Amino acid sequence: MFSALYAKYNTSLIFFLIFLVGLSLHALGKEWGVANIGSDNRTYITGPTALIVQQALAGPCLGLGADANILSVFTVYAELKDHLDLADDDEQRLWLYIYQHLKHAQTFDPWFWDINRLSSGLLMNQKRFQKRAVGLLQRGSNARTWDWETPFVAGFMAHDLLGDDVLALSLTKEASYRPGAPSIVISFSAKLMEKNIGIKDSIDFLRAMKKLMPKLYSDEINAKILALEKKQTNSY
Amino acid sequence: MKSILEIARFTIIETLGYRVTRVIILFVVFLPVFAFLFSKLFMLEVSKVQIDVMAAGAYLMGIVFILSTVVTLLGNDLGSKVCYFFLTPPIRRQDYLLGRFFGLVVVVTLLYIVLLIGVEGLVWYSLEYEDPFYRHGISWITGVMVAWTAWYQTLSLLSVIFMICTWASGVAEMLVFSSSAAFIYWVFPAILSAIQAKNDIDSIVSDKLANIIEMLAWLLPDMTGGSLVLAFEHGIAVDYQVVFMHAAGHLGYTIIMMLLAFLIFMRRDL
Repeated sequence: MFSALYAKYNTSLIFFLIFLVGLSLHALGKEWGVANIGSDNRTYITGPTALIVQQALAGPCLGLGADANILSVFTVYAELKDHLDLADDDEQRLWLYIYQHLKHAQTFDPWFWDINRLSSGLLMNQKRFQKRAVGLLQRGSNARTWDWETPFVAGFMAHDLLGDDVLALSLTKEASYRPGAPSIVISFSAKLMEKNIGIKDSIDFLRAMKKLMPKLYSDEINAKILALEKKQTNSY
Repeated sequence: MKSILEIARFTIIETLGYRVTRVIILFVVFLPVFAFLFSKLFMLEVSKVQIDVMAAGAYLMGIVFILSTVVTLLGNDLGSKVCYFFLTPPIRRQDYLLGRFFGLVVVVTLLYIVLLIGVEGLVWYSLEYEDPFYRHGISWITGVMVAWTAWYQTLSLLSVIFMICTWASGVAEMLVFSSSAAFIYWVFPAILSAIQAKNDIDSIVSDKLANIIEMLAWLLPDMTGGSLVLAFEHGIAVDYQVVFMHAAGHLGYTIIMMLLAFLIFMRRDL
């Protein structure tokens, strides 16, 4: 049949017709493929590939494995922001994917700072993921031994969002001993200690910190010690 | 010795003349540009992301060079009997193999020097223009570690490919076995370190299988230079003994594989 058509008509005409068919299919695919995804309140994003498969694919490129997961976090977050009318189960599923991508990224590169910032920034407002976000920050804090910010943020989240002051205290205390920790970290730890353990321990902690911290902080710490001592005397 | 050097010189000229080698050099030259643009997708540690891309490029470059250039070269030599041109007295078989190997080592080294210049260019930019906030831990040694670890790991793979090509019968067979070896090299150490790190796969892999995998790992070199690079990217203090012994392990593996290649090639029916 094709050869008969070919013999009867000009070759370029047949080529043009085939081109038109191709173009139509391409246009239909563009229109329908995209329109269908956005038209309802469902999402078609799938979860992260299993960690072991990701590790096998990444091979020695550990850093790039972490980076790829962070890019996926952005993709999933963009989907959440683009479809504000998502069904509730879909929304929860996407937040779970964000958490999983962050966790995988941390397995590849536990020192990567972006993971910690994203864990606190994105997951802290999601009630179901707050505890897991603190877990991610704890892992990040264990790896990044030079960084005071991660354990401090984790401690603050544990206090403010989870109401777990024991965990919060251990994390903020850890943050206080890290290099470059500002005075706010020390005063927050002292406040938690005062509330949960007692004024005496809080004063001891501040005295220990005074010895460790640069002289710049001395006046501030002294003022806090004095205030606590006054409070202690009044309470007797 | 003179014949070895002569074959090595010929190999360098021949390999650099391949179009695929030039494409690889072009890839390495443009890789820093891609790494720079890619890093702008991230928020904080952008310099670390640049080094990640360069490290991945370094590993990929080694494998692509070996599979495309080295296998073709040895396939032509041994499969299509081009090696007859070389193997005339006084050139012995071991001279030929050693000459080819040293020639390819020089070309691989040249490729990694080009890559090193690119990485150090990015490091220089980071140190000069990026805020320390965005480049924690990055130093000149980071760039050196990227090229250095990828270089000696590629040489290990090169020696394995030599060993395979000495017994494989033609280009097709060489390509299949070499690709399989490269695949195993890429995938296996990652899975192994995941098992050793007692990761989430505990439930998937049984103890017996884990033991078998660990035994098989002895047959492969330690292709975990990626974790060394990662540590240097973040300014983690790595014991220089670890860095040295990692490279020494690869040197040992390269020597063993080349010895095997000699033994097989001496007895090969050409």
